[in-house]
Amino acid sequence: MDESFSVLVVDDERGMREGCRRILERHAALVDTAESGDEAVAKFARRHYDLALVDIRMPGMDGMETLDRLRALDPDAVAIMVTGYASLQTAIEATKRGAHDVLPKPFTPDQLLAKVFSAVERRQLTLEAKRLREERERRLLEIATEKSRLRTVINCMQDGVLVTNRDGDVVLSNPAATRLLLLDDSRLLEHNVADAARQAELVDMIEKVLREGDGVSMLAREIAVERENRVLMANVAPVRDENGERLGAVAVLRDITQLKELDRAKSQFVSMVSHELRAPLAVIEGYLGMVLGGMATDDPVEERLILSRSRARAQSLLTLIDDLLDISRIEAGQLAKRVETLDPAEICRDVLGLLRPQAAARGIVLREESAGDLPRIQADREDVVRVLTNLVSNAIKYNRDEGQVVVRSSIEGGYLRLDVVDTGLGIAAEDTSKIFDEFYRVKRRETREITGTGLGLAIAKRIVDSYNGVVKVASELGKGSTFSVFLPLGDIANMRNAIE
Amino acid sequence: MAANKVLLIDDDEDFVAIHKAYLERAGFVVSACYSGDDGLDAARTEHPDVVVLDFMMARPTEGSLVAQALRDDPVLKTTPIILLTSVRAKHPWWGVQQDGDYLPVDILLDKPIEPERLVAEIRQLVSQK
Repeated sequence: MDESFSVLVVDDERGMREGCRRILERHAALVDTAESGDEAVAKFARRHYDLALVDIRMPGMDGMETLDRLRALDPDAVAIMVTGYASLQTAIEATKRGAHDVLPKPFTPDQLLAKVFSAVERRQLTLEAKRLREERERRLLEIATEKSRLRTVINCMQDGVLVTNRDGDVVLSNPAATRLLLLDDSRLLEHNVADAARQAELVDMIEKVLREGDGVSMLAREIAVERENRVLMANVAPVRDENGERLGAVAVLRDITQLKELDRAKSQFVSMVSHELRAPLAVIEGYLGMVLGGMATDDPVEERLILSRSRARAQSLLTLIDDLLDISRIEAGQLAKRVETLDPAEICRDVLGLLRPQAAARGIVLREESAGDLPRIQADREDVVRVLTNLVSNAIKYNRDEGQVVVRSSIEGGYLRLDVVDTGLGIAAEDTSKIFDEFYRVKRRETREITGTGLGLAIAKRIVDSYNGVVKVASELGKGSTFSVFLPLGDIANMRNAIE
Repeated sequence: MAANKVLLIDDDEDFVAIHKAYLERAGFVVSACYSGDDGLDAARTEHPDVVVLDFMMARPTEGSLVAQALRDDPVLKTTPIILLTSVRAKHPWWGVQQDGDYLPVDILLDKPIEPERLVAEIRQLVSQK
């Protein structure tokens, strides 16, 4: 034997015990002895032996009972029963009770070794089989755990997952897939994907992968879900086993409706901006063409008119670009804000002061009214000035000559309320919902002469939104409009944190 | 041969001033109106060879209303109409079917338009008469 093995020799005769020890120790065995069944059981309880050599006839607990007790302690224990009265009967009895073999006395060292080696081999095989069995059980448990873990992960995913076998029958799906494809759960599992899913494009993709899988690594396509106006990005790939054999197909579905919407809004904005930039440039170019092409008369007054109109358009272009830069500044968000403690009354006075000449030119009176002492607010000064300037400047532009504009400030709930009240044209009900849209300008006979980028209110709204505030409008045609801004009092940073 | 007459109807004075100058240089006789109503009156008295019409004037669909009125007029119903619109470029989702049954105009063009392009389009329309 190459490896060492342990043997417990149980015999009431000292000579037998020592004899066996000598023989076995020569063959690398670790030998221990016990002179009674009781002692053997006690030793076995402390440690396991590869093999027990048990004398059947002993005073007190006999060999057979000892065998039972040993096997109770270690069911894999291998025992050789030693007997001076070997009979077939004894052998059968011993084997029944789990002994590996029977060794009749007297025996030669070779006979002993032959039996012992065979028993040790048996012991090793038993242990190996046990190890394999345990390993298998552990693996099965692992797989079950892994499966349930995978199941949990797949079920929690926001993306839909749909797996079919090679016949196209759905074998796995998650709740997201059911939700995204508007499927009936009960129709899904065990059904062919062609029967279960209403999205012909998706079915096509899966069938294509199943049919031509060898040439296809992954298909990606946007598919429409009609009933909900949703757009899904579907990725379909073949599922293969370790030999590359095609087992089925897996489809992963992601809802990209919002992305598409953002994308559309962005292109729309870009398109609108390009148009707004092109329109004044086209006018400037047209006038320059007239002057350079000799189409303007020699009348210096007319030529001057053309140039001054071009200049007005160039200025409007600059204003537009400033407004666009403002929008991008607002979009940069909180990071770009220089928040400080501001006195709203002081800002009102400043803004009205700056716009007074423009108002005075048309006989319009600007006034401010304040409901007592106002608390300070936390905001970026530039933001508040911008909102108020845009609103008051509109109130002047869309006012009647000799009209008036009142800026009224008060506290309402947890907000600072600023009302900009004019005596102007008023806004038609159908326009009030659109005036805060980028580039929307009310078009009426009376507004023809009024210049503007169509961004003023959009900017004001975006700024107010960025402070979690509200801007509202109330208006009556022919009488005037009131724009009301509500800015939250207190520290915006803290409010933001509270919200988040 | 008498010069062809073009009627420009647009509330944008700059647009009118520029295109009037280019068209006159190209040999057209041009009259201009700044509203749909004035334009319709002018068309009825002047019998232009081509009408150039802005879609969105004081009222958002003023141009198409003028076009419809021209088509309903027994004298003017065959006068070629060019309808200009910036709405399409401004609101990409706003589609105008370029379909004679739907908009009673001969040509629909996007604004802003290069003066030379407008001159060429009008020449083309006049030569077909």
